[in-house]
Amino acid sequence: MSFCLFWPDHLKERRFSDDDDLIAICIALKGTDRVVLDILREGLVRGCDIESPYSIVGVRKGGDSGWRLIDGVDCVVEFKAPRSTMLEFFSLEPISLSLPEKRMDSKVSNVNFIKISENKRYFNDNTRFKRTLGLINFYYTYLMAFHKKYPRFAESSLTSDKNIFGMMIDLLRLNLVYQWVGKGFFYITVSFALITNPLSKFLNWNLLNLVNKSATIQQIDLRCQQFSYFPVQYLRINENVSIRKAMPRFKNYAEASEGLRKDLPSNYYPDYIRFYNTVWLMLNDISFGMILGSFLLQYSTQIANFAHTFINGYLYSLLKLVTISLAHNPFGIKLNEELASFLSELFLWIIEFSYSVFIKRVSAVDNLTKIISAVANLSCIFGATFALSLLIDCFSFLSLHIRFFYLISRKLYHWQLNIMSSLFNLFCGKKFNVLRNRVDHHNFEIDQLLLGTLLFIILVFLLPTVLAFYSSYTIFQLGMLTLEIIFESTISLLNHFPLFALLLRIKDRRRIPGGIALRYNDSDDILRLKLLNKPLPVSLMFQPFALLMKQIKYNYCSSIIVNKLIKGLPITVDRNKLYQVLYSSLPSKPINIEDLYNSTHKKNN
Amino acid sequence: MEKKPWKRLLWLKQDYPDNYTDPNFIKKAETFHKRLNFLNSPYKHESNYFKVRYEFFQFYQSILNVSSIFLIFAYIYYYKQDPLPLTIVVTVVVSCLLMSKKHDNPLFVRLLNLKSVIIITFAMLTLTPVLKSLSKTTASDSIWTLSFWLTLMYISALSNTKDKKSSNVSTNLLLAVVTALASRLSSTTEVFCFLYICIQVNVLLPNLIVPSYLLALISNIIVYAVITQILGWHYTILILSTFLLYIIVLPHWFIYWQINYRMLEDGDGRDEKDCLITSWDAKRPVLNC
Amino acid sequence: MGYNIAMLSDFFYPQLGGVEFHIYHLSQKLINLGHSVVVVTHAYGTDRIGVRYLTNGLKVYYVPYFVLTRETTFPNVFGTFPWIRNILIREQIDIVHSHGSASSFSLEGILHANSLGLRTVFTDHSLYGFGNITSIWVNKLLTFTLTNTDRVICVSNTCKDNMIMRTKTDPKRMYVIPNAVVASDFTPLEDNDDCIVRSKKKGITIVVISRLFANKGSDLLTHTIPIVCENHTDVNFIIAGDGPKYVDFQQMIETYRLQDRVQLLGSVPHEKVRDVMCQGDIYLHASLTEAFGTVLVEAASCGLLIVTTAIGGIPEVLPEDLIVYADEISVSSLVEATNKGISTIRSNDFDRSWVHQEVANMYDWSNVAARTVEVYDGIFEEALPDDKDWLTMLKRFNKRDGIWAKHLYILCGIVEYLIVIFFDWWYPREDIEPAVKWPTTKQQHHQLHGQTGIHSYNHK
Repeated sequence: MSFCLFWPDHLKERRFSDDDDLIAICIALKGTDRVVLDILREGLVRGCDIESPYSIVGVRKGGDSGWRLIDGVDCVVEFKAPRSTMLEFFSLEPISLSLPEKRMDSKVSNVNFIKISENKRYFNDNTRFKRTLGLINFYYTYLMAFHKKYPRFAESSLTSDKNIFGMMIDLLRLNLVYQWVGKGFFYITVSFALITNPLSKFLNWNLLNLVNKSATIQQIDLRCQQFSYFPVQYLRINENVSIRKAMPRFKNYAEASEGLRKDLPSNYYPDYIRFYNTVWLMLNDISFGMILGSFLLQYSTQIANFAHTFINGYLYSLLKLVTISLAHNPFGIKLNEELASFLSELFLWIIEFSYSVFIKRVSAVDNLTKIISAVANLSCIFGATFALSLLIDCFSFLSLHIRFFYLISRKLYHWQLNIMSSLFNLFCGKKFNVLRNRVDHHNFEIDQLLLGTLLFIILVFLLPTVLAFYSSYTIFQLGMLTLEIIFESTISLLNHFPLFALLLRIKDRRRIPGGIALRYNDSDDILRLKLLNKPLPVSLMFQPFALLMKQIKYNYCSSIIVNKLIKGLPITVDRNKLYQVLYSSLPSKPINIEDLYNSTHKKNN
Repeated sequence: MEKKPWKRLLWLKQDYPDNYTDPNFIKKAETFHKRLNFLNSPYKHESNYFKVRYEFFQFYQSILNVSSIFLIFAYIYYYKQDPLPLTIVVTVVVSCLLMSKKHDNPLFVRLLNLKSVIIITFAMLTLTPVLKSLSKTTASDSIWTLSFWLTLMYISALSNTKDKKSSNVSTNLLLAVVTALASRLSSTTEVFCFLYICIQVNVLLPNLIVPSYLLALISNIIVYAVITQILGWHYTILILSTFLLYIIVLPHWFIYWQINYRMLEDGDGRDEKDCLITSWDAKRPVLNC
Repeated sequence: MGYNIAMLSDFFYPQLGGVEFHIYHLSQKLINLGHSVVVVTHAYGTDRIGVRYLTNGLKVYYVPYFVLTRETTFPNVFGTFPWIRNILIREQIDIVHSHGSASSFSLEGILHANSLGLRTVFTDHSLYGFGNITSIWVNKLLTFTLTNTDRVICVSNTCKDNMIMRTKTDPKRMYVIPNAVVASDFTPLEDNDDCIVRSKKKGITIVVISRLFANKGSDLLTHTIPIVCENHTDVNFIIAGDGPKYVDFQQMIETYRLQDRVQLLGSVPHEKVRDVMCQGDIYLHASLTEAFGTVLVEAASCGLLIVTTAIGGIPEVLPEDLIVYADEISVSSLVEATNKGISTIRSNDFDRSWVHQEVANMYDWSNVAARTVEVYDGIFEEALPDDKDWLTMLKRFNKRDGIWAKHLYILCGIVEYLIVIFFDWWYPREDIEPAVKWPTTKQQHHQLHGQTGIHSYNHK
């Protein structure tokens, strides 16, 4: 039987005097390849019984330059042992920054491909390699376990390698002050979570569905969810740390083999990244908010003046101009005079009403200055995202009448199209059968036909008028929608930027593995490969954004939207659904308070 | 040993090469090409001419009917006549026709359904103000152009939907023409009368009367009289000579075209089994029960 | 030493139909005879694009191209040239065999192959009239294409007659080779088919399998079925297929309250057709135009008595004792024929035991392939040295009648040759890498076991 031998780099580099006889000790658990643990002088091992997970894999006689390995070694894979205390590890698949249940794979959309890749015949789970990687990831822990078991080997090798930084952290952890501060922070977060959790639940309440109505409320909800998830994340991270420290398990062969499957670092490690990413983003947001706030305060008069002209121009004067001109044959297009003037008057009345009731008051420069300074202050406290979402809400409140116009004209247009299509069926001698949901043949009476024809002709002649109103208000609505989308994309960028992961990537690429690579090392005697860590590609980090952009493109810039516009179907999109992608690092259901209590309780015991 | 004669069967293994051609067919094709010669084509039969001419005449008649819309319009719009008496006369004539035919045919019972007459009349009364205003803002020139094109579409729809009773495209187009024209009229009464007459003349009348040469003559006389009245006699002569050209010369050319380009060898496929060229067309199913 | 053959058509798998099955089975049998076959068609959907291998190394090129309607590509004479030239050269094709006159892809392919000096064969599967714009257009296009085609294969004698009239091609160059069926896929009902036996009702069941289009005689059927149901209380119908006339059938069932007796299955996948057929005793066919009628052979192979209209090539397809013909294309005569069929079944006059074997002997794809190979052989035996000379081909165009058409043909021909010259300069033949051929069956035995065919390299 042939197998691979994994050889850590530092054992290669370690200098022994050339004339010593050396022995390489390896470990092999159930279903893994052999990994060289340590190199010892031959004299040390002699007379000592080496037990099952450990075995001798190679010998180097004094004066020889190469190793004589046992039979069956196909290739030697060299690797740099990952320091688990530094959170370095190997992973076969790219680690996922979103929660497992929220993972949406954009690449695999092809049904055929899924069918094939799910087929047992083509399925390769790489179990053996995966488990070996698991073993390598805990290399130092296994080495420690080995030295605990055979204390006489310990002094010869490892002490010099013991990571000083790791020791310091261990020391700190033990420190009483650290514990107390940690506990204090933990309880503060838990009490925060206790407040935010029911708040988020209320905001998400189906009856009111507040989240879907306002950007500010959505932003508040996001923060609430993040706060209430903090304790859980913290516990998860801590729990895993304690698992890693559970030394006894590594001494026992069966348990260690069992543990290999569960304790893959890629299972718990993303929690750590997510947690710190959220914390970083919050702080980042507040610092941005301060910049924005000071900017707004400094230029408040200019901004207020600009906003005043903009609001008055776009939301009142322009709209009024268009509505009036629609009643008077715009661009020489002859519309139906009666209908056009009726609709025009109706809309003009709404414009005047909304102007006098709120637009005029809000858009007064004094009031605008007040609003801007209020937003600026809030921005300094709660962050830029909060300020931006407040602005969006203000804007959508001010443009309420445009939305109404759009809705009214859309409904009219839609009804008219519907009636015309069913009348058209009538002319073809067909009828929509509601009970069977299909188009039947039907012989109509002559009076039915005549009446239908009369109505159809009237609707055909009225269609251009309705279409003119519909299309102009749709353009207004689309303009508003574009503005909103730009703002909301900015907010989501601020909220979900993978800042921490990017920084990690710059700092230590081995900490966010995106798979492995094997490099061929030229050598004479045996196949030598080098195991390398591929960092997570940036495109994967931004995957939720790519998905969001795709969704936005799908919803707003595709043939679907044109189709909807032509058919007169509503184009407002469920905001909650759209930005759902970005909640990928939060659980879909808020954490239950009871569960939270239970887990805290467990921790304290 | 003599070869067995070739049979036109695919399932039988025969001792002939695959590119063997049916001798019967070759003979048939030869006669076909002989018949295709314009001079001695059986398609050029006298009765065929009459048939084609009759169909041409029918088409002419339907155009004549359509022209009545414009005549009535001119009567109301150009000569500013009160349309009410005319409406009453036409209505009385149509209802008399309906009454007289009522016993013969269940179709006319359907037409004279009192309830539907009332509904239609009242619906029209209600809708006339709307109809009148539909294209009021449009310039008159646009209306004339629009109604011209709509009329063309109406005529083509008429010739297409002869056998499909359920389709209503032609009625639709007729009403579109009437609506476009109605916006030029000055009062709602005029619009209503115009609509009423047009529907009766163009929708009900063709259903009521069995086409005959006498009726055709009457309608011709009426139309030409009106044309002479409006446009003068040289226009009448011009139109009349066009009509004669159409009814005498065009069928000849049509038959020539049928033989030369559509390769029809026999009149209307009377004996389909012998008619080579139509034998591959999808057959028309006879739905006799 | 076999030929390198390219089958060109718009219609191929994943679409299913007469032409598609013809191409597939013919190709398989040709491969078995030691020839190398590639199929060239347009891309289907977004994922079936590029090169695929089917059973026995049948290589299929799915060329990305704009599809107009009903899976036919946009006709534009020269647009397909670059792809087709590339494929023909890299596959070292000797013979281009196109299928289906409605497929502009195959017609253009023949034109390109002719200008590249390759031998060409065309198979037609359908009948066309002369009366409407579409058929005039197709006929003109076909006349243009077939002027220089070496051989034409028609699926029935009627089809051949039609072809002669349409394109005025020399009958000597036209062969009649019928379609076939895979008889083992259409076996009659056996005792161990218990799932079908259970669903089979008492009395007589009449099966209709057809696409529900007007030209398949849907109107005849919707009128015939109620009458037959009224005359015979123990007769039931099973109708499989979908199409625009589906609603008419639904309405027919509702109007005459035949829900218990007429079963509308909708479209049935091809592999289930046999199971549907086996539930019946009589197969009813009311098509208004038909070149061959493969479905009749399939039904006969399943042991059904066939009642049909005598249209097109149908009378040539099967022996008279398997079929009851309706004299006219009318409801009354179809009802009459159905009644006759029902009484035959009732009196047990119809002995179905031998029918399957009989049909299997009549129609077999190996036979079709062998006859097709004879046609191929004939091309090379009777070939003249200047057959594929551009001047000769132009002269042939000049001999066609129709003063306008003739000159248009010549113009198209000249443009085509200019394009050939341009491409020979722009992308020389030597630059096109020849494709590796799939090893033929005989050679495959020498290969190592377990090695897949793609990796094994083999020069012819």
